[in-house]
Amino acid sequence: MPTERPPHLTPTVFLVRSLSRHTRCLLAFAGISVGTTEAWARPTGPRAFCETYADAPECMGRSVTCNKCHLSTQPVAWNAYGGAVFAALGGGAFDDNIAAALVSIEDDDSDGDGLSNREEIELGTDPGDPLSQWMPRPTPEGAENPSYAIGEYDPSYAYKRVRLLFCGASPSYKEARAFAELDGEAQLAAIHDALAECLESDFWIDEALTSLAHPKIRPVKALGAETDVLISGYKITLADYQWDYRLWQYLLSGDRDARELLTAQYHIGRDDAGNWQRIDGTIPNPPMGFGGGQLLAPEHRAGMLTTQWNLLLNIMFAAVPRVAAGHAYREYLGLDLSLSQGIRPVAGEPLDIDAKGVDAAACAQCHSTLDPLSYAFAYYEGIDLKNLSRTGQYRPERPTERIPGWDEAQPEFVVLDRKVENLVELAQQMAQSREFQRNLADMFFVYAVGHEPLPDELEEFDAVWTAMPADGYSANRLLHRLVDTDAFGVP
Amino acid sequence: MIMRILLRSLLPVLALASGCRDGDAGGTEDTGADEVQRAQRGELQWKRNAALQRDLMRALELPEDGVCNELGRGSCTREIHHIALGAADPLRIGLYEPLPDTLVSTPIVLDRVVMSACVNRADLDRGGAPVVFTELDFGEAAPAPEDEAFAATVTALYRRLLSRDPEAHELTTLGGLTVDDAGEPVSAHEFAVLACFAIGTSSEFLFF
Amino acid sequence: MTTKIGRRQMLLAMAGAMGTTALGSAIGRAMEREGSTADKDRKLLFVLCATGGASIVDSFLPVTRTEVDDDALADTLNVYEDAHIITPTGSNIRCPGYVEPAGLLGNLYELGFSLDGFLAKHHRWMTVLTQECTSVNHNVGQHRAVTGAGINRGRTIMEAMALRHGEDLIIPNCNMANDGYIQPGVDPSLPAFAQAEIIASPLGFAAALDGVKGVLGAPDRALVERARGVREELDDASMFGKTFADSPRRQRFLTNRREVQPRLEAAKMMDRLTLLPPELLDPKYGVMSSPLLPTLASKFSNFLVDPWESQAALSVLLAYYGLSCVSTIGLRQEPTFGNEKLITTPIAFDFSHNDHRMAQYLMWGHVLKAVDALVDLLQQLDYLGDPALGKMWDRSMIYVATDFGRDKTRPAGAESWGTGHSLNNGTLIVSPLLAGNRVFGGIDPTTCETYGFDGSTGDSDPGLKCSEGHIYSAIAQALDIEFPERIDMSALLA
Repeated sequence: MPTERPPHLTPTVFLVRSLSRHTRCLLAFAGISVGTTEAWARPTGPRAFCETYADAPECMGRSVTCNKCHLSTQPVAWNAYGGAVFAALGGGAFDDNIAAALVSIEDDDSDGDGLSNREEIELGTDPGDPLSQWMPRPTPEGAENPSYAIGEYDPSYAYKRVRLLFCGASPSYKEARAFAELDGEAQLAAIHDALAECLESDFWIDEALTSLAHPKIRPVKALGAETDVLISGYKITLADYQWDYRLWQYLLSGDRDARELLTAQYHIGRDDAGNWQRIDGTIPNPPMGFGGGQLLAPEHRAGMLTTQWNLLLNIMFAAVPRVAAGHAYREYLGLDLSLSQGIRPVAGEPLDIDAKGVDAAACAQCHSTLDPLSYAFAYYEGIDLKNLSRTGQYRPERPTERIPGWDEAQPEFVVLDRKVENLVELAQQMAQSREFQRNLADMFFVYAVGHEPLPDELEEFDAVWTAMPADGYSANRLLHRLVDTDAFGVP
Repeated sequence: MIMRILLRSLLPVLALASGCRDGDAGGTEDTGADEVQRAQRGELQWKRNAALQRDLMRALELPEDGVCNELGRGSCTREIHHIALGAADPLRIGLYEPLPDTLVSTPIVLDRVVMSACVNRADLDRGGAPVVFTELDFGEAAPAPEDEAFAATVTALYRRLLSRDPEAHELTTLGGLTVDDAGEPVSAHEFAVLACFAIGTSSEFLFF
Repeated sequence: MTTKIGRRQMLLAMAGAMGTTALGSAIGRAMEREGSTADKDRKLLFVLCATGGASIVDSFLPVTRTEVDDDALADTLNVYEDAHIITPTGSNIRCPGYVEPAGLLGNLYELGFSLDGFLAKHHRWMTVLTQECTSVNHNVGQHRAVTGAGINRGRTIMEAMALRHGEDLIIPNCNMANDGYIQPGVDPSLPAFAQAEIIASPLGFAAALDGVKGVLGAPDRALVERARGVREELDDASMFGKTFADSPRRQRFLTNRREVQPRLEAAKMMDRLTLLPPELLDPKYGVMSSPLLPTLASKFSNFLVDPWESQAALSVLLAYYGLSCVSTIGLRQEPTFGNEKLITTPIAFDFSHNDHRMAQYLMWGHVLKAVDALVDLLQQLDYLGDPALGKMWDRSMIYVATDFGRDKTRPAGAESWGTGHSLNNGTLIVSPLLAGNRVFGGIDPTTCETYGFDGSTGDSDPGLKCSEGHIYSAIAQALDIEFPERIDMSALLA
């Protein structure tokens, strides 16, 4: 066990790297032979970090991961900051001493880049990586720019961006002239007028919003309504993802409550004129297809999480639908467990209820969060080849049928440290969370600005997403706030 | 120190004195003497395939299928080169989010799309009531840079493609497209296409 | 329009003083030259992505019933009847024989290519490596299959390859695959030239290599060049150009336009890479089919309708004409039709969820058909058409990447069943650069789980597991790609 920090070579690696350098293959149970039980990554670390630094940008506008301290969690290896934390713990119990350990090294500069750990945490850079730096914007030099407002919000620049990003076309010469002739306040008003108009446009709703939904829905034509594959005259359609796209489009337009992405118990149709039609109750599968409707009883619905397509694609044949849970966590909360984001370990988990070996050291730290999420999905059918009409249905007996030991184990369903009774409640908790708001805002920020919020943009980004409750969780209102930011409007 | 010069009432306002920033709409005289302030952020976005297609349709008044069809096999912007032009493609290659940056082939593909759109517009204007190249006589050689038809054509293209008036130096530079390498006048049709292409493939047209 | 000034703002401003140093260091890393290779020494990599989970247990590391030595247990494992396993003469590797279409959807398929035929023909180039990956999520597993789970600064093996062998090439890294296989690595210092060019339409890609050719009505090229010159002047002199001169996105675009595009057009690559046959090219466009098209078509007979084949065909052209040193191709989610029946499954290998054995056999056959064609073509063609440079094959490696393995169990006695995802698997590499006709690692017949080996000695060891990083390291070592974390895999080298 090292007690000294190594030299500041990049990237700085502590201790157990030797496992990967000097063994030819991973030990079958890597970690056990490290020689000390202290040499584990601590899945509670990110949570502890944000309890200590609740106002840090990464705890507000981003997601703290194991990378804050670790180069690798399996086998375990620390960066310079993590090594310093480890040393500061001094062998004491992690959860009891982590807060004090973090505070005790605040004034150190663990990665040797010239800023103290505390300063880097406040900036949003990595205190363990000397290459994690923030370059401030250059001070404008030279003659005054006659065409752009350098270093300040430029209404004409913002106006053009609004028109292109949300209407899908530049302002015409005439429109640009008319805008230029307005005074400052009127220009700002005109930007919002243009945005309001654009947010009702076909481009925004049918083109841009649809595109933003692709990672959430992940359509596969071969299994959808447009499939070319027929069996005895039957389309192989197992579900129709157009229901998912319509629900997404509907809820992120028209000032509607975006939380219903996870709580809606209705579906959305569209008539020939393009008008939305809310459909309550179940929707049968179309004739000559194996799926394509929405057979799930409304009381078991949780918006995008329980569409027939989402359940089909992400549960498929799994008894414990971990992929479905991980997908929901990643796409709607912005927490990708495979990247060690959003780890919230539940005591006693993972139970390894289906004997998949997820309690092995390499798996347990993520599965202690993932599995308690997954259990709630276990009541929903993905694909049952002998009963294709069951796709996307709620079946209370399914966990017992598919998971030996389910009844005895009585697993608890937990999301974001809260115990819930079922998927509907789980989705409600997700929809109410700041992670949900932040993730939605982040998606729109990246669309509008072209990159993730940078350190000098985090404050205004936080202001945008934290206003969502006051704005009734309206995506439109969020976008109106977004186009007012410097990130959007300063050339 | 913004100068604007009014050439004619029907022609662009190029650079007469004006005290305010001209935004996107008006031209400014660039003397080249001073380095102007550069953007502080400079994090430009680029027109993705749909916006590019729409802007060309709007600017050149072309129907959707009149912009670019690749070797007669499909839409350049929607089917063949959509990735290089910044689109996602969830169904074919599982690309669920568009690429953040342009690819090696992006400028080449942009050349093809804009060239095709410009040719199509010039052909339509030559064959019927002109819409964009209203001042050109397609049966003749390109107008000389000092001709009104030249300034009117360039101005129309700037207004349509860049939503602003051309600068004086831009008019001068584009004058080079009225002749070939040997100094011989090109045809009016060639001039129309080349000027449209040069402006429509500029970084100012693609980025915002 | 925020106006708050506080400690963060002060820090943001303060960071600048240190930022210069850091940026310098970052640039230093980005500019690092890792050894551009001359044509003579350049290696070629073809990454074939077997999307959905290609199981090594169903290809080149099968287990037979008698090896289990317990009939009841064998009934619950993915094992083959002894008579069904074929070991061709001279081969140290074996595989399942023909699998009869069966199961619920059995009559949908058309089986076209046998594993044993492939093995008999190519076993001397085949290296099987056991492996245990670290994710059963498709996207994550795919990405880790090409990044070695981050072992080399997060660079994909394709990026590392481009960096090592492609600095002088125009588009060194071309990627036609899908999903996680087309995601870039995560090393921010990777030079732009090594980043992948994503190609969704192999049949149409050639047109992206020339800005004018084939555009009906385009003026004479000399005039277009004149217009381009004018455009460059306008771009630099415009207020937009001056204001956004430092924009990284704009700079990248202009660099490609000013430096790469002229090279591509001068090399007349559009005609060389056009995969459309003459009958599909209207003469009015003035575009020619690739001179190699007949050669390619003789091996990829279905390339006009099968994107897997068209990708593979384009990968040969990209390498042959010296545009690229690494091409990545991928199986599509959409099924491909042969003569009225499917020659690939929907969602590729992941159809194993529905019908494991059929999906594996069909899709392995489809993958290997392309490998077979690639080997034949690479053995036939001189690199860059220059006999002095030798055959392309001599410098080539074909890496069959996959997401993860599949479950090893089945319902007792089932002949048709579905499987979930499994970490445990193995990898196939076909290359003269590795020790061929060998399996590194082994398989436990009582579980059908593979176990690892020591890369420095080649010795199998049931106590070891090899990871994505080991596969990455083996490929890298054979292709002269060095990096600090590379695991010694000397025993695998030819």
